[in-house]
Amino acid sequence: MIKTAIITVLALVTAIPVFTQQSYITREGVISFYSSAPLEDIEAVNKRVHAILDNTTGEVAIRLRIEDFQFERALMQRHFNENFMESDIYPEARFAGRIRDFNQFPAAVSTVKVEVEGQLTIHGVTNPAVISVTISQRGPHLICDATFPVAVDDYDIRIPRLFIRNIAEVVEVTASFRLAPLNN
Amino acid sequence: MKTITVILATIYTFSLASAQPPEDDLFDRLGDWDEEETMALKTFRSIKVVNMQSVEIPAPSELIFTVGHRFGNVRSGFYEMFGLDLATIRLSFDYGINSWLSAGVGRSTFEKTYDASTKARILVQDGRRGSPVSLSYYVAASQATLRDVFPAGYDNFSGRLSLASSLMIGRKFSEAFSMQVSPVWLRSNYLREIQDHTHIVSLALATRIRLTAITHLNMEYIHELTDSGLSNTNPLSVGFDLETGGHVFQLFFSNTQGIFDKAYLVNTTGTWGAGDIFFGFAITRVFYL
Repeated sequence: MIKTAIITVLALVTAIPVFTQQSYITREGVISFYSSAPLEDIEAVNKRVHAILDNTTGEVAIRLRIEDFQFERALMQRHFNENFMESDIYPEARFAGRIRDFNQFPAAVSTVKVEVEGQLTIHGVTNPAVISVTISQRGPHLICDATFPVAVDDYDIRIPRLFIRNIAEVVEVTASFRLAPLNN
Repeated sequence: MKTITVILATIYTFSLASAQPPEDDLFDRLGDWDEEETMALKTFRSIKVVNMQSVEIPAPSELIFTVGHRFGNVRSGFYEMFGLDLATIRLSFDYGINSWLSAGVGRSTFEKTYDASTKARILVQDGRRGSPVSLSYYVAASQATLRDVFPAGYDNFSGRLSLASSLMIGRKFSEAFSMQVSPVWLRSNYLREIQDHTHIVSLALATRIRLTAITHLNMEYIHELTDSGLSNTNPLSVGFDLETGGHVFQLFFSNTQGIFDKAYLVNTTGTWGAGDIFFGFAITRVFYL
């Protein structure tokens, strides 16, 4: 009887590391996009992206504020926020997903390529997305890089006719995060 | 004892389950957004509502070139093509020196007038940091160069000079609606009508209403508070802002033909009721220096 109890307690003790899970986090991630259209090329950068990786489950959460995208021209930024993204109604874009075939970090090899499968929400519209990410380990940090296309039509982003020759139908999104370990 | 084992096993199972939080918890762990200063996005679409100044100033290093047209009185009929033959214009450049200061120059047909102005942002509306309104200050000087109308004694730089200033207090209530109140002051050293100098204070009211994503309805009304003894009327203007890539087109109807401060503050003669309506438009092109 006592033996059973001891085994049970031991099992509980070994479960404790599950509570003290480690995650990787950044609040200064960089996401930029590039639109190439007949009349002009447009580029914008957001350097205040929040991202977290749960190192026990491989779950990933990323969010950014649309208003934080900086454009070369103030006028473009205004059109982007007010006419296309309606950032007063949809202030955030989010990605929630999970790394496929997840292995905990630190990994044996310094650079791994993973696929992250999840839901991408932009302009209030959620679509499934699979994003290939390269993760390099630099000391305690994880450097994550990804490039993926986003079709504006998929997210119900209407481009007024007057701008149709200024904005690409598919924009190229580039993400670059330097995640730091966080114990909690 | 067996019961205890079952209970402990149950707790163990639950502890494993709770160790895999749903994604919403993961977002919670990112914490709140930093409370940072954000600039209120455009209260008005242009640096002018119709004739009067809006709280907006050009963005840093933006050079705004404006071609303003005012046609003649619509009532003038078919012979004058409803005012088309009596058009007056103003060409102007406004430049954003930095995030709070801009300067501009212009030339108008009316009395062959040159003008120079400067505008400063004092406060920017920011819900998170406290200021409920945006505040800008504008000061301008204009010099009429029309010959043979200024009498001796006034036919000099000082006599041809007018000074105007206004404080713009604006608030963007939503993407769909903005409002602005502005006290306006004007000193004109010589006014042909009264053959003397004049000095007026007015209160201007302006609104912006969004109609579609790229069109806005603007209205402005300038009420003279002083009793200057002039026969001028209070200008009331209704306009549409149409935004395209690098341009803003403004189309409007007004009872004034004036485009710069002195012209619409003291030289407005038309009344809406009598059908003295002037059609006008402005084309704005933005350059980046």
